[in-house]
Order: sequence, then C-alpha cells, then structure tokens
Amino acid sequence: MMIRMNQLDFSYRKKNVFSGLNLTLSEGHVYGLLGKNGAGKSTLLKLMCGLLFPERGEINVMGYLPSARKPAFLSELFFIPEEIYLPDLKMSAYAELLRPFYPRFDRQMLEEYMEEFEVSLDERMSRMSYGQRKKALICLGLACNTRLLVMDEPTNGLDIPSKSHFRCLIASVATKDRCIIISTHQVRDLDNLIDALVVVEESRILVNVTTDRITEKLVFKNLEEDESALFAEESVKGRWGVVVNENGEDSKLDMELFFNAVLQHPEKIRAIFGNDKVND
Amino acid sequence: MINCVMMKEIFDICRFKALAWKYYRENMKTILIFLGVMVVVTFMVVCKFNPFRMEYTSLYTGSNYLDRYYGMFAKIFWGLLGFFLLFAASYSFADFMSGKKSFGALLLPASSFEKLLLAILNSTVVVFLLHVAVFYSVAHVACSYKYTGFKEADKIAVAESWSGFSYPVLTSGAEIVHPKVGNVFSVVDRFSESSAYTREVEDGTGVRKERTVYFTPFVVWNLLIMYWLYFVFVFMWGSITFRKRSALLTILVHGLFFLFLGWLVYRVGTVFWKIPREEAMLYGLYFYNTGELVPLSASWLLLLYIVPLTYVGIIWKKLKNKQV
Repeated sequence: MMIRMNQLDFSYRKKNVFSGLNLTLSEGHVYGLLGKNGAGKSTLLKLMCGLLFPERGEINVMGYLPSARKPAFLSELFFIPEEIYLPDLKMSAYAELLRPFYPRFDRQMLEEYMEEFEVSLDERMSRMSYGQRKKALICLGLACNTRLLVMDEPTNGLDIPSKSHFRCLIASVATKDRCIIISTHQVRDLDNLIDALVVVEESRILVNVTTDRITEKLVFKNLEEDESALFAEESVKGRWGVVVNENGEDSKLDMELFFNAVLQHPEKIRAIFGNDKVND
Repeated sequence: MINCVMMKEIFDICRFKALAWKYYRENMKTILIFLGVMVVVTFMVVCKFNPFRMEYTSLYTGSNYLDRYYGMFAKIFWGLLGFFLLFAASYSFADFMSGKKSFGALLLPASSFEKLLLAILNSTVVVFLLHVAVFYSVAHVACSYKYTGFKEADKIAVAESWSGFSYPVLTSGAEIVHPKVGNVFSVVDRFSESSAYTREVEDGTGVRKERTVYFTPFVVWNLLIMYWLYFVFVFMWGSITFRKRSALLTILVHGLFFLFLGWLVYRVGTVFWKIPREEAMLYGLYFYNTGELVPLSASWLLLLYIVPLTYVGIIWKKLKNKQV
C-alpha cells in the first residue's frame, strides 16, 4: 500500500475536519479526489504530505510517517499546491538546483514535457503568466519521477489545449510503482485520466473505488421519463442519469453525475459498492 | 551501517551543499539588496559619527584623538553588526512562514537539521563576514576621502553635505590626518584591561580585605560570542514564531519577559534569601578566598551557554513541528 490512514482525527481550532477517517491508496493508480468546497480535500493532501499533522490516528505513506518529513520520504514525494510559488530564475536553472534532491530526476523528460506544454526552459519564471508557471511546475513535478505525485487543483489556470496536454502527460507517466493523486473541483478535467475515485464529504471518505468498478455497478444513460435513478438531470438530449447496472450494460463514466449521486444518496452508494472498495 | 544511514537522514554534506547553493541562488537578489543596504547604512553612519566632526574635536586634543576615533569605529562596528544581525535573523525563516513559499521550503528533501543549520550559518557567520568586509571597505573609503584633522577649532570650517550631514573642511594651515579604523576586535583586550576593579569583602574569618578582579580576554570573548549567539537566536525564534512583524514582536515579548524576570529576581532576592542584594549578585560569588589580583573565573560561562543553546533546541523543535 502506498498510503494508509487509520482512525484519523484532524481539526482546525474549532472546526472538525476529519473524525476517525480511514483511507487506503495503492501504487499503480491515478486517483481523482473529489469533494464539495470545504470538504477537506486540500487538508487530506496536506496530511499525506506531512504539511499538517493529525491529532489522533496513524498515517503511513510509503512506509514513512509523513510528519517526520525525512529526506528519504520527501525525495519520493512531489506536491503541487493550488497556490504556487516559483523563484525568479530560469526554469533550466531552477531544475538544476532541484536535481540533487530527487535521485530519479530526468532532465530530458523535463525538456520534452516543457516542449509539449509550449513553455520555454530559458524564460524567467517571474515573467511567465500564472498558467505558464503552473505548467512549468507540473513538468518539474513529473520530471522528478517521484513515487508519489500529489496535485491540488492542477488544472486551475490552464487553457483548454493545456488541459488536454495535461491529461496526455499524466496518462504517459502513470506506472505500476507510482501513485498520482489529483484533487479538483473541475471533474471534467479528469475525464479519461483517472482510474480510481475518492469522494470526501462530511469528515469522511464516502467512496474509494476504481472507475471500472463504478461502470460495472452503475450505468450512465438517457432515462425514460418515469424511470427512477440515483441521480438525474435534464439536458438538451433529455433526462440524463445514473442507475444501478442490473443488466450488465456498458456505459461511459460521467464523473459529475456520479459525484452528485454520491452526495445525494451516500448510503445507497455505500451499499452498492459493498465492503471491498467503499471505506468509512 | 544503520547508524550511518540514520546520520545521513539528519545530515549529509552533499545535500547540505545543494541546499545552501539553492538558497543563495534563489535569494541572490535579496542578498544583493541587503548588501547594498549594508554599504549605504555603514557609509552614512561612518560619516555621521566620524571622529573629526566639529562637536567631537572640541572635546579632545592631541594623542586622545587616536583613542577616541578608535573607540568610535569600534562602537559603530559592533552597533551596526547588531542592527544587521537583527534583520538577517528576523528573516531567517521567512520562507517557512509565508503561505505560498512554505510548501516548497518544508517539502524540500533536506532534513530539518540541515535547514536549521543553514539558517544559523546565514544569520551568524555569513552576516558577520559580510559586515567585516563591508565595514572595513566602506570605512576605509570614507576615511581616506575628505576627513581632515585639526587641533584648533578656529582652523576648521563645517560644510553641509547633500545628505544633511555636516563635515569638516580643511582650512589653510590645518594638518591633514586620515583616520584609521584600526582593529575593532581589540575591544576585547581593552574591555578586559579596563574591567579590573577593587572592592572590600569579608573573608571566612571575618577579616575585611580588598580584592581586585578583572575579566580575562578569554572571558570577554566568551561573553561576546555568547551574547552574539543569544541575540541571533532570539530573533530567529521570533522569525519561526511570528508570521508578521517578527522583530517588533520579539522585542516586545522579550522586553516583557525580562521585566518580569527582573521583578521576580528582586522579589526572591530580597524576601527569601535574606542577604544583602549586593552580595547576591552573580559576580559577588567570585570575590571570596582569592588573591589580590584575580582573573574572574570562566567556569560559569559554560553554564551561560545553555541559554542560547536552549533557544536552538526550541527553534529546531518549532521547525520540525511547523505546519502550513
């Protein structure tokens, strides 16, 4: 297991964020972390990285205690926060400064990623736009080749072609020994990218399940007018919704629909996914 | 083998070199601005308090000049060092306290010890070496420029510079003397020599005798280093404790603390010890059973080092437990 959280409690002064939280994430997956505003997505990521310490419970990440922030642990972790800071240097110079800290840093990969994103290695980062700086940091994070890559709202500030490039890049670097966690509000940015979903709501993990498992158990389709659904919404094409897949139908995962279904019927969803994948 | 691995988790020389290089490269602009401020402030202060200003020259004549301007430069040097150390130490953990920068600072793969060590080296050794270089260069340039010596007030004129400072102008017949900065570290020897004093104390048999004590250069050096470290670590503590206005809040907190401590010592000393307050003072302990001219014992200095070292421990703990 890459990450194991056991009976975790965390609160900010007077606001309780997590109480008795359990979560297990494995290598070889690209996880999408979803939740409403203030549900605790960023807090969860910071707890994994050792930027916040739990009040009670255990966190084990790659065999390390994140709060100890040991160099061996940190060299296997790259965190891209929502609000980024980059020094006033050229990207090429900054990459050279970071290289000694990440044993598997790959300069050639960095150049390829930067080219893909159309960001120059020789431009001073202070002169880049917010979106360009975000792209530069994503490239750097990928080139560091860490076992755990954590991204908080990575697509914020990216233009439409860049979001597409982002999906391609992430898909290309996802390997068996790597775990990538992406937290976002913009679920459509994760289309065809993630292979597992974690939904955080009301201090707990509502769902932790692979996308294959979702489409095996649920079907996303146009509904008849009187057909009951876990969640449905009107669209120009008719009534679009998610229902229990009783006949083994094939369908494409609609993450937005699934997310809304989880929020509306958390207990039903928990019952559908049983004990093997849904955690408390 | 395990110990070696554990040691490398705490300190690795290659990683530390990479950390230091990254720090200096990223903060080069800030460092150069700080250096510029050091040069300008030192130049202005050296000009402002140059020993050949009208008001000073009227106070002393002849050979006293040398002592006076030596003492002046030494005071400027140590005063400015404190001023620059205050700023450097107060910003030593700024990256860890700033919202956006703190992610990178905390998650950079180096140990807390290495990050602390770099901050300490920057706030002590690096600032000190920079200050020595800047002070001697600037003071030398300033002194060799236009300062003139004179023995009689009527032979000099005073002009106003563009910065508003007044400076003496050579008049016909006056002797040109360029002040020399001298060795500002000899303040230790001078302090040691001037620290000797005599007082009458009662020995164990009830006989009152005169005793003379003085600080050895070793004691003065230790006091200086200890005070220097304490000063730096106090402001480093402020830097990792307060997000904003750390220097101001550090001074306020420590001012209140020392007021309380002073009040407590006074109360405890007078109420519980039942001995004259004069005798209760720390140095009083070293007057008994000594010869006529006795260097003050240095053994207690080791104990006093506990104070700055305690601060280092607290700073390290705060850095290890720092959250965003």
